[in-house]
Amino acid sequence: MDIIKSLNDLLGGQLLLWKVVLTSLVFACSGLQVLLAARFYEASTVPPISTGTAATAHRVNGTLTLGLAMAVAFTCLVGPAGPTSPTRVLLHSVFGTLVFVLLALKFAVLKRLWRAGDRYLPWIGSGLFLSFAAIWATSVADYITAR
Amino acid sequence: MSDVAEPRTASLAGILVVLLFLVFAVAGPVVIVWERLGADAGAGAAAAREGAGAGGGGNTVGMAGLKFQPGTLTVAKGTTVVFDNDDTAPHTVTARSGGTDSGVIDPGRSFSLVASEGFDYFCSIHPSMTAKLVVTG
Repeated sequence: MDIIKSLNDLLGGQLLLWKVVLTSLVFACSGLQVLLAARFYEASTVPPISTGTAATAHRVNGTLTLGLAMAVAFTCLVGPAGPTSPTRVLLHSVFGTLVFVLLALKFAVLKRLWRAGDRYLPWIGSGLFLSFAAIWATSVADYITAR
Repeated sequence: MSDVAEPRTASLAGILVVLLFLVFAVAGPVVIVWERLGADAGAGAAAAREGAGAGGGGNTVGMAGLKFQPGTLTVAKGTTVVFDNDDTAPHTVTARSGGTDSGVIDPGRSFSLVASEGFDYFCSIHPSMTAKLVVTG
């Protein structure tokens, strides 16, 4: 647990608060990902940018979201924030696992390991957003209501 | 849909990335089960302590479910107070007024101090965890 202590000290004893902020940011970014994907699939005119720009923004925002999500997930794995109920932890774990399963599927498609999976990308993306929403609800929302 | 060229064949890097995500996917449940096994082992000790505390005269504070138990502990001056972390998460015992700070107490570990004066304290990792030590005499 020295990693957690070091991180907590580095962040002025506010590790959990930072996790709350970053998890909320990941949730917001995942929502933006859905909007950008809808734009470059031409299913939406929002945001009002070209499909090419939307695709590039989707890629950049996705990389940022992924980096943040993995950083938060790492701190969860090396020092779980602690359950306020077993059900919350169970659900949080289930959705956390689901996120990485979906990411594995998505990258299997993007890296051409699963060529037939192209058609499922919108579903995988939507699943990722909903999973991030569930993760937020079982962590940040719980943190806020516990205060 | 994208103006960036996609690779046409699977690469070793692609396989490694997918494997990395699968490792993360499996790691969550493994860690949760591991932590729960540790918590179950500590639950018996916590229950025993709670029973002793009901009879009065306890000098131990437990940490479980993101709470200090009891929320207020009253002891005589010079008593050794033990803080047991029976939770699945690391915690601290940090005095609001400064001074006392246990550092991180890992699950299953304890911290003790000799009570010289009362203070309000909290967990610096989980600030919603608060409690109070009252010292008499």
